[in-house]
Amino acid sequence: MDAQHERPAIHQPTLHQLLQALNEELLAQTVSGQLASDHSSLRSMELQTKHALSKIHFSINTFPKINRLPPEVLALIPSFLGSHRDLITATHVCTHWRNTIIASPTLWSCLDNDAMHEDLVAAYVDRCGGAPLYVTFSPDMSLKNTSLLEKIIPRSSHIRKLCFPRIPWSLIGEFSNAFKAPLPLLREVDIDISYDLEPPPFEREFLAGATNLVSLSLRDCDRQSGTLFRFVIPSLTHLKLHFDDPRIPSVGELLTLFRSSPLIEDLHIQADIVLDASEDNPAFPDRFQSVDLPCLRKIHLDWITPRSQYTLLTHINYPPTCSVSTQTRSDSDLSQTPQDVFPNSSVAFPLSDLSSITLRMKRELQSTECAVFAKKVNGASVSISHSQDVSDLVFRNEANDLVRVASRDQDDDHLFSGAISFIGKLPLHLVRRFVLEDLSADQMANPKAFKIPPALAKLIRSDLPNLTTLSFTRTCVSELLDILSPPPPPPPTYLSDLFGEGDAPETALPCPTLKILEMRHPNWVASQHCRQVLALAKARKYEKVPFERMFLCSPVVPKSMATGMSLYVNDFTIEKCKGCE
Amino acid sequence: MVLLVTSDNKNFVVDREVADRSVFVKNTLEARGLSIATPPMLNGGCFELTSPFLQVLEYCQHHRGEPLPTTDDANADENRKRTTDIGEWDRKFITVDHEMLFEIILAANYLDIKPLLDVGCKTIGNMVKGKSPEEVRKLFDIVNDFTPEEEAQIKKENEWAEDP
Repeated sequence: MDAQHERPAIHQPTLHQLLQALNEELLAQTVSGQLASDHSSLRSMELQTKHALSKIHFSINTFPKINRLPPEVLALIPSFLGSHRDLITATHVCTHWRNTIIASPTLWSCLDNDAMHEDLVAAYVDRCGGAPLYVTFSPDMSLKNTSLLEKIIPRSSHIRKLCFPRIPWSLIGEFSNAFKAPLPLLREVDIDISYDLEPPPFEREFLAGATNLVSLSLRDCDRQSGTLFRFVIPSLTHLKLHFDDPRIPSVGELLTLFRSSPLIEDLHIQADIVLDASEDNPAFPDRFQSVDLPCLRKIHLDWITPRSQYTLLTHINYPPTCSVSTQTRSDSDLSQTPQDVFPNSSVAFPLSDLSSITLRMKRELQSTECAVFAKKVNGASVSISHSQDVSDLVFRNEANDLVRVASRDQDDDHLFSGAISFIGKLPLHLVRRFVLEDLSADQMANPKAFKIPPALAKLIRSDLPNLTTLSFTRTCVSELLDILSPPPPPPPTYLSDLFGEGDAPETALPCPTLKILEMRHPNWVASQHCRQVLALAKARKYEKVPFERMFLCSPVVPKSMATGMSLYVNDFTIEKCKGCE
Repeated sequence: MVLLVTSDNKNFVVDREVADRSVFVKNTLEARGLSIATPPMLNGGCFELTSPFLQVLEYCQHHRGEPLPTTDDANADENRKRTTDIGEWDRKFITVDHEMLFEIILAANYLDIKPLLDVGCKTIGNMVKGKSPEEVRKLFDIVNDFTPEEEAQIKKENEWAEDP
């Protein structure tokens, strides 16, 4: 055979080489197995070390002062955190915190699918145990809260409060149909309706299982909501209704609504306007039928015109101990009594037993509120407030800046005069206490020329025959003290013409029955004002109508004043109170 | 007037109106018809009562005459917890070091002065708000004592806690 066709030489390993290769292979496998085994045991040891370290750290964590608080106190802290994120963070601080917080069901009782991840909702539901639940369903429920609904329905017997913020009617229907089980713990329902859609027909009455519902708040409701809630809620004690234009209710509709809930204690209605007459709604006759609400303790009515407020009040039979407050935003009618506005409303405000009157003039950024608060002998209160909304006096100029029209001062004065006139028409013969609040010179219409209206001076001096307490709160005291000052004596020539020497008549002091003068948080600091008060006390002492008590709180009044005042007033107190700090 | 004796035998004479801010003292006085209330030792005697008690008395003096919270009103209790605002005076009063803060809280808890307990807990709550677990640990001298399994669970929970 020639060399070309010679087969290439194949390297034949020797037996020794084969054995060596086999040995190496075996060794590699053994080392690898050993390493794996070692690694596993190392991991196990590391885990054991970590667990041991955790136990040591757990023991160390018993030393910090905060971890020595009783568990019930430690569990109270997260209840003030407010956000879900912070609550979860608190459970990640240490084992003691985690165990304590997770074991406190009330911390996990607020469910809000709008602000919570689905798994977080599940964790809350697991941890809330048997605690009463406070559930908020987001308006976007159709997309996100199916799981919440599924998780909540089995626990519906634990629901204490249900909130539906900005929710359309259609979804309220879905909820109504979903909650079929009894809701014995449900006490509060808060609904804010966002869309004005026709309500779908419900399979059953809304939340019919809520037999112990006591509080219902409806925001942006309309007539449809009135229809919806015209089922009987005999247990309802707190009713809050808010109507936005153009959803305007009438007095008759409201009275019909109240009829189904005779146990109402607290009634709060806010609207743009409420129709007094009901010509646009034949379902409610002009002659309203009165409603008996014998448990009523508090009524608050807030809409533009007082006329329909008085009409409504006229037709609610409430006990004399019920407190009534009304808030209006109309320029008209303020100075009129309810009887002036609506002749048949003699029962609207039984005002024959007023014991205390407060006149407040408070200027806010966007409105000025002028309010008359009255306290009755039996403790019930009556308040009539009038807000002058100046938002319509704000407009944008070419530079798009907000410009406020400066002529509103006249309106403020108008409000103030109207309120004084209103008070003058009230039965004042039993009034023993009169309070003036927020009549601060620097906030009044014209600070430099603040004058006490003659009507107010006359009111205090002459129309309050049994006045014993006069109180000034956050007011320009010095100007108001002029009301109490004796009138100037007649000219001497006149005296000498009429009387012989020593026969001149005594100068009468105003308000002879006044015993107590209070000045709380006064806007005065000057020493001449202190002298004015001192002179007044002295004059009353010499006229034998002294003050029995005088109270003054201010951080700046000199202490020497107390020494001087003690000569003329039995009980004089200067206090540095919270409001003056 | 009421004589209050602390665990370290210090005597304090206070108005009944001030003493009644503590439900514990009020109930003790009413039950026994006495004018002396003696709070026993707290935490087995390791708690020095006089120092926080002076602070507590100052608080009670300032808030004397204010209506006491009703204990049977569940809704009021719920609102009490949710309100995190602290009044101006209370805020200044509770601006103390951590040690004194915890002692005031313990005293308020023991003496059953709920408004003061709330102020103390709100103050701690405000310290915790917005902080990470590590920052909270640093604040209160706490060490991380979670096991690896718990750490894994915590990691998962952190994902939930993010906004949906």
